[in-house]
Amino acid sequence: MIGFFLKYLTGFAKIEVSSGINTRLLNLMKNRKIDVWGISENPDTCTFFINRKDINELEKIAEKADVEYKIQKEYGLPVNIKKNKKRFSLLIGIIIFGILIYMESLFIWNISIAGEDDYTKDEILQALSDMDISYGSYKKEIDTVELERLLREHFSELAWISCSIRGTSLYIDVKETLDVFTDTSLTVPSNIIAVKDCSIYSIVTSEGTPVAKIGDDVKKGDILVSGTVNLYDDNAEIMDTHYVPAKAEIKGITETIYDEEFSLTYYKKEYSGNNKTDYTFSIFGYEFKPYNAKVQYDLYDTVTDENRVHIGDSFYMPFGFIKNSFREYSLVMAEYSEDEAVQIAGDRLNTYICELQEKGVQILENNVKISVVDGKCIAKGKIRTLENIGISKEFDIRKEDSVVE
Amino acid sequence: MKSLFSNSCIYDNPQICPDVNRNSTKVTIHGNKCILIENFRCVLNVSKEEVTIKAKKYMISITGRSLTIDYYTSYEIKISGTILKVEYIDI
Repeated sequence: MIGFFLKYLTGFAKIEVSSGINTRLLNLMKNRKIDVWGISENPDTCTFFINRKDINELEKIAEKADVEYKIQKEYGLPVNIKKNKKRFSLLIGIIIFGILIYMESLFIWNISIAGEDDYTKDEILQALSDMDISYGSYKKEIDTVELERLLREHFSELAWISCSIRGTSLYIDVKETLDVFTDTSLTVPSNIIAVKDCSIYSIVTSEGTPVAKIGDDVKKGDILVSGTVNLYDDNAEIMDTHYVPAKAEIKGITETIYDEEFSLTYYKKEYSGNNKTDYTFSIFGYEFKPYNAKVQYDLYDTVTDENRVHIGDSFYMPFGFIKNSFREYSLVMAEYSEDEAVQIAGDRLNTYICELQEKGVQILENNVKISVVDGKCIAKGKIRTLENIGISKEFDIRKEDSVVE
Repeated sequence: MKSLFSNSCIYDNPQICPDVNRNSTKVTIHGNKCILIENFRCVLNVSKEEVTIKAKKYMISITGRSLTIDYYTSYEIKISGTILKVEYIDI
């Protein structure tokens, strides 16, 4: 097999000799170190294979041996290249394409962010850009573990961040619903302080000295559990002081004022059905527009749809196109009926409550009243909630020492 | 010191196979279908019934049926067919 492959690489030819097997020819070829194989004898002729490089030598030998020969067919890579010379540029194109695909696979061409809620995608992208990570960054220079740490430092309220690179995509998954109250990773001495004004409903301390009691009304920033643990002797005098990261689960009852109003009259968009579209092409982050759509509408919506060329889910290419659609509309004055307005206000209140519940807040009482007064829909009232209100805050031991002294 | 597997001493001169320095002809026969001859001089006669090869000090005559030369290089020749007789003839 290897022998055949080597022969294919150098090329070989099938020779037809007009006489039968000529021993003189064979012996001359042997002396000139010409390899012969596949000898087959026909009634009038004889065919055999020799290497392509030996054809010139054969010409001299054939003259000497007084034999007429002809090259029946040539085989091998050099012959194929010669035959497909016109298609050589195609081959070069395929090779260059392969090299380009490989080169572009070394960079990041898509950043996918999922799970963000309070923080926007643009904020996270901006933070990444400050860390020199953007479209076109070299993949090997991105340390995902380090990136997770930097993002966690930058967005302190993110509970969980996961960064991974697949194909040419950088995936960033964040979680904001796991709030800071469950963060037990702090190892430096810290107190637990109140994040808002509330009345303490329950307090379960696992580490530290509780300062607040159930039923206490506390203000934002008050210390609820201290990280300073004093050891007393029999005379109730401080014998020793330890500083620990305070850990406790503290729930408080808070009151939130909900106030939202909107007018019954509003402007409604009525689309005329006139659309115009143009395209922008992007390559390696640069954009160019072959033509601009002449938009002569007074009022119009612009819908931008970005499409990036990709193979599979994660192998994105550095080029794509952006479709810009312009939809004409006119503004028409409209008015909500009272029932409609109440329905909309109710929906908005429900959305607000759902968002609170997603963050782990329990609704104890909802006193929000919806009314329609003077052409306005007003939703106003108090919502009593039960929620985690303790947050860890580091303290300076030297200051604490001076307070103790 | 004697080797465990032979009676010769390991300090003896190694015995080089005689065909390595091309002094002698090496003939390998596989059954009666194929014969391989190395270190020969030239081919004297080729036919379907007989192939005669000249070696350094003798001739090798191979008699058989449907004899063909598979390949033929500067140091080796392979003949296949049905071999009936291999004869060494002094020059």
